[in-house]
Amino acid sequence: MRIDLVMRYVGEVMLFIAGFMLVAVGISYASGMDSAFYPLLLSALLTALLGAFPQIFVDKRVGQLSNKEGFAVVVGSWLLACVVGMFPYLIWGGEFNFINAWFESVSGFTTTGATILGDIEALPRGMQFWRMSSTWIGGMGVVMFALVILPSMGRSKMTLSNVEMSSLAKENFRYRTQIIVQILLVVYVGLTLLSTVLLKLAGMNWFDALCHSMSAAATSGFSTKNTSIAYFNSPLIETILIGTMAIAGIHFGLIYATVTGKRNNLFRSEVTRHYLGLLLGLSLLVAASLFAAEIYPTPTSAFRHAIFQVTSLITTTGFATADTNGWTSFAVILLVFASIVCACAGSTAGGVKVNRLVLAVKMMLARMKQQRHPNAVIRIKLDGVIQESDMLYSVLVFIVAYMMLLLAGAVFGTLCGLDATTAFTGAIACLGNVGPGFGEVGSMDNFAAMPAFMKGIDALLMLFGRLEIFGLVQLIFMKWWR
Amino acid sequence: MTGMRKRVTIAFLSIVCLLFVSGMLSFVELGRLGRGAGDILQASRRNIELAKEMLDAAHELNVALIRRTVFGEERADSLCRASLARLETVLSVAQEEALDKSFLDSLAFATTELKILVDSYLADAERQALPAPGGASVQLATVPAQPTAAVSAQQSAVPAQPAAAPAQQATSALPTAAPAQPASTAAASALAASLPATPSADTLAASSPLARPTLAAETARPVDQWYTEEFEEVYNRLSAAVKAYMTSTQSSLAPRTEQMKKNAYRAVTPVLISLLVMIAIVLMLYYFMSIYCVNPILDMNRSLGNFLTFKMPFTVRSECKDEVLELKEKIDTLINQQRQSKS
Repeated sequence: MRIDLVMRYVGEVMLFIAGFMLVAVGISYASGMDSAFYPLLLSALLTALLGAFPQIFVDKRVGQLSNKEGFAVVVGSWLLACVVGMFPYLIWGGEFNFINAWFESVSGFTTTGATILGDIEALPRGMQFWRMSSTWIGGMGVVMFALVILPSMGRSKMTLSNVEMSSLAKENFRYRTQIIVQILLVVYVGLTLLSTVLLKLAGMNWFDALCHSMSAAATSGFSTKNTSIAYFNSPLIETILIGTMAIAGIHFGLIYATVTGKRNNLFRSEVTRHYLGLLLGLSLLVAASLFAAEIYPTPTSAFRHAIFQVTSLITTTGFATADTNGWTSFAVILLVFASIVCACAGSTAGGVKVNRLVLAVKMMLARMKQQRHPNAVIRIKLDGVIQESDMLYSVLVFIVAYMMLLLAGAVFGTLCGLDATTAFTGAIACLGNVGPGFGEVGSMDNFAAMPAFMKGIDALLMLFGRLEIFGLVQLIFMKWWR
Repeated sequence: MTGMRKRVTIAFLSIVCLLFVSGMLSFVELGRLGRGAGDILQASRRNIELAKEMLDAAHELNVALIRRTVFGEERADSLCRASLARLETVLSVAQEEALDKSFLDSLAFATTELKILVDSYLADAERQALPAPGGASVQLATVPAQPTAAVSAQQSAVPAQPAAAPAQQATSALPTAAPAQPASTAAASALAASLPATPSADTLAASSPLARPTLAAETARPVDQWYTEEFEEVYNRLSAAVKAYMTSTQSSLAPRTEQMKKNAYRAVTPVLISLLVMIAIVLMLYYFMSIYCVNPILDMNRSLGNFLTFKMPFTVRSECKDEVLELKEKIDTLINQQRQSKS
């Protein structure tokens, strides 16, 4: 493996992150040089230095990255981004000690949106913007940034995106690198800007509108308010955010194809139909449960809160307009299910993903059919494409590994003295990059009260979830690196 | 500047800059820490000084009051007022300088209480001064009733003192709609209103002897009774408050030390981060120097040795760039020239 080349690419990502830190410095300056100014400036300089150093020694080389090198760039970028991302928090101080800063940084870059902050509004604007930037960068994918800034175009980028994007997405939509860049620009940036303008028109100020748009497009769930979206108490704002979150949960390539009028678009996608169907179905069921239990006086208000929470959790965003801890057990179970399944592959969402769920269900149906007709040759199709057995096998392995990690997270949680609900839903929230769980880590609570050890475990779960489990597991096997 | 030299120079300059930044940060943060520790020591010393002055002033007042009541020395009045003024001045200085103002609440309350008590006593004593030579004994023997107006007038007449000012203003601003209120009650209400709304202030106001419409409203009573029941009680409270203030810095040393530890951690964090980044950069520099300079040179040396000793072909596997690459190419050329000349 050419470590020097890997370092160069990771360095470019660091420079990009330093650029965002400088933007945060600008915002801090514009807010009257608030207390975040010097921490952000120092962090930007250190990050830039760290990123620029490999550029001095390693020359640009024509050629392609091997699979291992691509993998190393992805994992290295993500881990290093999390490390440099906590510099501003650590230097600024406040509620951030080492473990809290690490948790917040990992939560940002993995687009989880879980926080340890008891008083978010106490953060200066510069620091607020940095939180949102970290999550936005994470949403776009550190590696996607590497793709944008990589000087040479070619197959090397495909190697990177193979690791970055869900393998299912790559199997279904074999995009060329240039198109990936266009997709990012049109869908991700476009969605963020559109949402910002709409939120501004709906009554937010520019800063809040931009921050919440960045958070929604990245399906992160970071908010500038302690009570999240409930602070605004505006159906219009909630509707705009529901739209943004729901779109951000769809495969970006499909959205791009739809926007650019391609044949293989959103309306033809089976997975998208299942995703939207699941979203609406769960919302209706939760709303009916809430109305029946008289938690909300009218069906409209029940549906309003139900669809927001379901969309927020299924897309792994984590915004909240209500304290879901007070909801019925039936609604809570459905929300937990939404937190596990999550949205589509190829989006910024985490979790098992609807694609895998659909395939798993089809495999179960095929198995039942096979038992009735032992000699039948049964093919499993998705979007009209026959799925290879390797792919199906990897889906099952992923789901099993996911469930085992969930269990491990829950066990560690209970070992740390957490109650079963908090431990289990906390693990779901972190592994699925959702953010809020239930119990002590509910939609209106935070992870501040968690023991430091558990925060470390949760941060690890977030990284596992973001790198689709096996991406991080491979890092452990040194033999693989040779 | 040649390629290799340029790279190494830039790399070293980066490290030097980082070292400089780390050094400056350490310097600034250590300076800030030092100032913090110095502030605490200074505050502690100043605390004791001010407390000593307050105790002196209170003692002076006590002596002056005894001289006035026991020996009937009229000139002791001015001494009383001067002691009170000194006490208040020192209190206002303490309030300005205090890092933790919570310790001063009870002290300010006790001072105002004492001031009201002594002022009203002096005002009444002045009014009821007896002409006869034996008057002193009469004056000594009784403390006359204190009408509201007298207290208000007396308090309005006292020059504005920072500590007592709110109480005075509040007292003089008492609504005329409540004239029946006894002077002592009015003063206590004003006192309570003038102080920060702390439970202790309320409690004190309620339990203050001034709050009790004592005997003063009805009949005169012996001065020794007034001294022991009212003045001594307030004086003791003031002394206790001054002593509490004197030890306040020491009492709050534990939380301050905790805060200092936290601040120290915060102060060294930027330096630690800079150092970590520098270590990472030094390691990178070592790695790059190894793969781009040291390894190729070692490789060339080994290969050149093999060529000279065993006539093995000159091959360098390490990646070469800049001058090292030129060196390799030049060695290659030399070897080729030697081969050609031999053939």
